[in-house]
Amino acid sequence: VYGVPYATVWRTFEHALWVVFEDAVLVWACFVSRREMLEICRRQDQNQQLLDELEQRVHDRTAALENEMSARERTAIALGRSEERYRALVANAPIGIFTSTRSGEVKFANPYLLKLLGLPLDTDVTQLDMSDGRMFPIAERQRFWTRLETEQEVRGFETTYTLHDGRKIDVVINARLKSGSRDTPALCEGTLEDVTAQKDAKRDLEAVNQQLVVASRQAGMADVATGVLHNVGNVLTSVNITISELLDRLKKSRLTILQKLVETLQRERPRLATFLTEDAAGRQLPDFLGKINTHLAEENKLLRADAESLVRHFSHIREIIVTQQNAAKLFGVAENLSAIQLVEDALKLSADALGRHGIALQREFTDKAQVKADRHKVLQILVNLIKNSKDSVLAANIADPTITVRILPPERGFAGLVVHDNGLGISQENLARIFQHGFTTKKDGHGFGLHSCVLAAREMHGDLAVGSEGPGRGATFTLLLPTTP
Amino acid sequence: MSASAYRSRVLIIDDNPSIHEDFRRILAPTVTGTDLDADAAALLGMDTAPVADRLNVDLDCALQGQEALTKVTAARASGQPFALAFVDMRMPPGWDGLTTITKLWEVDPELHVIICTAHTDRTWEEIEAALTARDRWAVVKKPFDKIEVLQLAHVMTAKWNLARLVNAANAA
Repeated sequence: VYGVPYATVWRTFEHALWVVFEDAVLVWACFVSRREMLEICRRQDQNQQLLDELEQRVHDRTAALENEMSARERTAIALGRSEERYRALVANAPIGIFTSTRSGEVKFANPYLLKLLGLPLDTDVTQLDMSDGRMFPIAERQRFWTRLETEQEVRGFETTYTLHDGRKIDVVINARLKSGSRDTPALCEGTLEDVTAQKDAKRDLEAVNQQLVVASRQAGMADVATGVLHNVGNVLTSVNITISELLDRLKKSRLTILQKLVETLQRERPRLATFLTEDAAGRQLPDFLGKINTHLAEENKLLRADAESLVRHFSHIREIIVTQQNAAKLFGVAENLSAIQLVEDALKLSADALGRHGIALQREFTDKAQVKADRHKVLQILVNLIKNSKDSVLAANIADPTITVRILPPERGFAGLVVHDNGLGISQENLARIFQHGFTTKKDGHGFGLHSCVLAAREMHGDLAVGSEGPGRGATFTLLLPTTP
Repeated sequence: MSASAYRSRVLIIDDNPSIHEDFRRILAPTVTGTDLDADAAALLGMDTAPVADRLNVDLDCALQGQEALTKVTAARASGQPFALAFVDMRMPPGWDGLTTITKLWEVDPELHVIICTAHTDRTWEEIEAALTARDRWAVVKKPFDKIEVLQLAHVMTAKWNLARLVNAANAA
């Protein structure tokens, strides 16, 4: 531009001017471009920053999403597992699980329940209908639902189901009521357990208990029999000894001396006066006669004493036997009996034990009640109570051991036969357990006595009650028996 | 040797006092009329009845095993031990016969014993196993006869006295 020669100066000048102008424009343009370049650069930086930011955010969000996703997944998996477990549990639980309605529709039943009820596992439970009462008797089902509806929850409902094959099973139902709405009926959700085996075991146990009661009654009878044997044995010994002594005395009676004296006097009759006054032996005869008289009187006294003791022994034996016969007679039959007579008979049976230990006996018979009872059972109970009282006052080792027997006037159709003692007494906690089978505080006790007593009392539609103000303060047992109208 | 040669102490252990009386009648009877017999022999020429060998014993009684133990212990200490004890098996509320005998033998092993019972809560096997000194005990069942008890008393007291004589001779 600059070196090119133009034709004229003007042209050259013009050219130079154009060049200057162009350059000026170029310079300006350069500046502008530069400025724009810088601006672009700045913007680009900004964009880059934004991009970076965006990328970070996308990254963060992705991570968060990923996290969220895996948590959900885990939850879902866990849920799935838990559901599986739940299903397995419901399916395999060794207990019947069901849902049913008041009208008898079955909504759900787990496989165990189906098996328990003797139904095939593929049974469509919705087809089951409990309302016909064939399996669950209508009255029982009514009772169950009434309870469920009043209490919302029923625990330990025991009943018997009859299966399709006629087999009967004892079941226990635990259930709660899930209230319904206008469209859906209330539901019963519950479990059902087959307790036939336990029930059978319980029935066996009861049978064994019953046998024990019988055994303990027999043991009680054996006790009485042993006592009788001991008593009669003792009395018979005395009888034996008295009889042999009596015979001995009769055999050795000095009546023979009197006979001999009579013979001598008969022989001396012709000279009797001389014999009595002159003869050495004869003169002593009046004194001798006096001695014979004294001796025979003494002999007679001893013989009479022996005879009287024999009479006493025999009446004692008779008493033992009569009491025993009365106890044994009319076995197991409820009859009208005098309360006083019953108590007296029991006291007679216990007399030996009481008298021997110096226990005072007080009778407080304020009423002549007639009771309807089995004589044998009443005596067994009373003898047992008196024996316990005896043991208690002896063990208490007190100065004035006393047993009081009372007859309470009838109240509400029951008369009370009371045996009270001032012996060991009973603690509060033992009072509650005293009639329990097998409970005893005695070292050699078996705990059947009072248990069988209370059973016997109840068999007679009566009862046996106990009271004590505590250890060391004595005990009171009251046998309640129905009175006769 | 006769039982009357030595005076022996006998202990009756029974919870029934009327049994004590029975033993007394048998072992120490009231004898009357012996002086009359002498007069009858002198004045009327009657034969005196042969007097049977009488048992020469001192009787003592106990109602319970514990009481018996006290008496046997005291007798042994005083140098006048019991020769023989009649023991009932059933003596409520205290020790039964078997326990009593075992305890008595602990303080006086020489004591001879006669078990005298109507009913025992122990079996004879139990009693045999517990009372190993078989030569020192015998059994009489109630109701017993006078002669059983009387003869056993004669034999046992004589045996006891002989044993003591033998022991004394051996010791000398």
